[in-house]
Order: sequence, then structure tokens, then C-alpha cells
Amino acid sequence: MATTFTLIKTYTLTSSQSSIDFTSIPATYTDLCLKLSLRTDRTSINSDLILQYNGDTTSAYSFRRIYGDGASAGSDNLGAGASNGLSGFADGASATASTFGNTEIYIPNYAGSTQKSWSTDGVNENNAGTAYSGLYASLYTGTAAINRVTVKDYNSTNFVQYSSASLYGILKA
Amino acid sequence: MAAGATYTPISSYTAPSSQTSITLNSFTGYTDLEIVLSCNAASTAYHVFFQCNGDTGTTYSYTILGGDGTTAGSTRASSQTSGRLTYYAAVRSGSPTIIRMKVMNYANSTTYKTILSRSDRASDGTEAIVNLWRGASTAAITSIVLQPSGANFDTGTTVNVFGITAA
Repeated sequence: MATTFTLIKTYTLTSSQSSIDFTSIPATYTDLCLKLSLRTDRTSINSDLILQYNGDTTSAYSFRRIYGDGASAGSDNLGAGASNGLSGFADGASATASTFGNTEIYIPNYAGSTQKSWSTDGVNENNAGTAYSGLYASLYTGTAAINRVTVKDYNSTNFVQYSSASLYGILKA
Repeated sequence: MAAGATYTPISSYTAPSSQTSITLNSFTGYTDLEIVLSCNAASTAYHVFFQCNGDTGTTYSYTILGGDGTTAGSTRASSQTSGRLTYYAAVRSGSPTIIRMKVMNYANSTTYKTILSRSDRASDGTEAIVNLWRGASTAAITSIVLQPSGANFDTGTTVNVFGITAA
């Protein structure tokens, strides 16, 4: 029986840091799945997460998403030209203590030579009136195989202790 | 208890040429299925539908929650002749549209079947869709036909099927 959904690397932070960096990702899988449980020190209930592939900070990213905050729903986009890919939520410092935002990111055909579409489901956890959830469609126009994924807060704050991030490799039949 | 393998790769298909449909079968022995599509289009855009066990009756219904980057919305249809996998996120040329189907408890023969899906295309939109198939006699799903509407699956479209096993 073939093995798939293989853990490539997991990080659990022991102190604050500004990014989580998965490097030297092998090209031996079909798809990647990134599971995030993150909290930042941003003075807000939530943080928007961004991804960068292969250290690429050029205008190579775009997205569309739908989101809700517990009161209303909306949709927004960045059609082209972003230097990173908005992708999911972390909790911020104003969210309920000891809660972490959770995000799952699925990256098909990451090792191929075409542009990379990816899919994100993310939530912000908060025991109060407002908490965010969102679904994202994203595109990275780089055509090289992805061998590095960097996760950051859009507002450049830090991920705090006990935040965790796990990267899995998925192998087709 | 020894851990059993799950999320098992069952089949993988890459379209060698333009395809009017893609049929999935031979997936017995699991509890749930997850199907990952990366759909390509030539010049004409299309949407993706599906039928279970070759059922062309009006036995499908679905509810869509999605957005186009400006407005969030929801729509629903019942008594349809196929299930639906894309509404906001069409398949177009240039970059693939991603679809992930989760076929819940597909092999039981006592209940109707629910299929959850997520579809994404950054230039069009993002969505979550719940499909219900009310097949004859609540039959187990033994085949799924993926059907593009408006154009064909283009060369390089991939469909990977995974099986998930209960404890």
C-alpha cells in the first residue's frame, strides 16, 4: 500500500519569530498541504497570513476570497501584482487568550513547470462578537518548482510561542 | 492499536488529449473518497459537473457559497440531472482551476450521498458547494463521471483519487 500524506516538516515555536520557512522541499510529491495553527502579537483580533514561494517577492501573486466575520459576508480580490499571496488567518493579540487561528492550504502540482494555483480555508478563533473565516483562490505565476514556502503576517508582526505549522507531501497513485 | 494506512492513493489520470468526460471507478474498500482535480481549458471556458453511477435522473441538488472578488453570494438548485462542482470558479485557459471533492460515506447502501467540494480560480472566484445525490435505492457509489459543460477538459487536466478508511 502506497504511503501518502507524509509529514515533511513541522514547527512548533518556542519563542516569537517573524516568519516560518519551509526550505529544501523535495520535488518527489504530487501536491503539498500546509496546516497552520498561528497567533501573532498584532494588536487586533486577527492577522492576515501571506505566503511567498521560492523567496519570490516580485509581483507574481493574486487572489480572490470570500469571508465572513459573524455579522456579514463579503468578497475581495487582488487581481495581479502582489508581492505575496494572502492566504488565511492567524489570531491576533486581542483574540481570546490561548486561541489560535487555523488555516489549511492545498497546493496541487507544486513541482510542475506551470503557474501554481492554490486553495486556502482559514479561520480566526475568538470567543467574542467578531471572528473571521475565509475561503481563498490564489495564483502564483512563477513556473519553477516550489522548493520553499515562507509564511508571514501581512502586517509584519511576529508569530508567538506555541504557534505551529506542518507541511505534508501528498503522492498520487 | 497499530495505525493503519489511510489517505491512500487509488488512481491518477492525466488527460492525454481533449476529453468530453472523465470516468472514475474501481474505488472499493474505503469509507470516504477525496478527489483532487486540476482542470485545464483551451480557448473556451467551461464549468464542471458530475453524475454518480450513470444516473441521469433529476436526483441531484446543490447549494453554493462563493464570491467573485467583489460580491459574496449563495445560490441553490434542486432536481437537477447532475451535480455541480464550479459556479464562480470557471475553468479557463492560462492556469488551472482546482477542485477538491469529498465524497462522504460513499459505499453505504442505506443513505443518500453528500459530496462536499471546494473550487478555486484566482482570476474568477472561490466557492464551497454541497451536493446531494438521491440515487435509486440509496445505492453505493461505484462510479463518478466528471463532465465539462461548454467545452472539453483540455490536455494535461489531472484527476487524483484518494481513499480514506475509518478506524
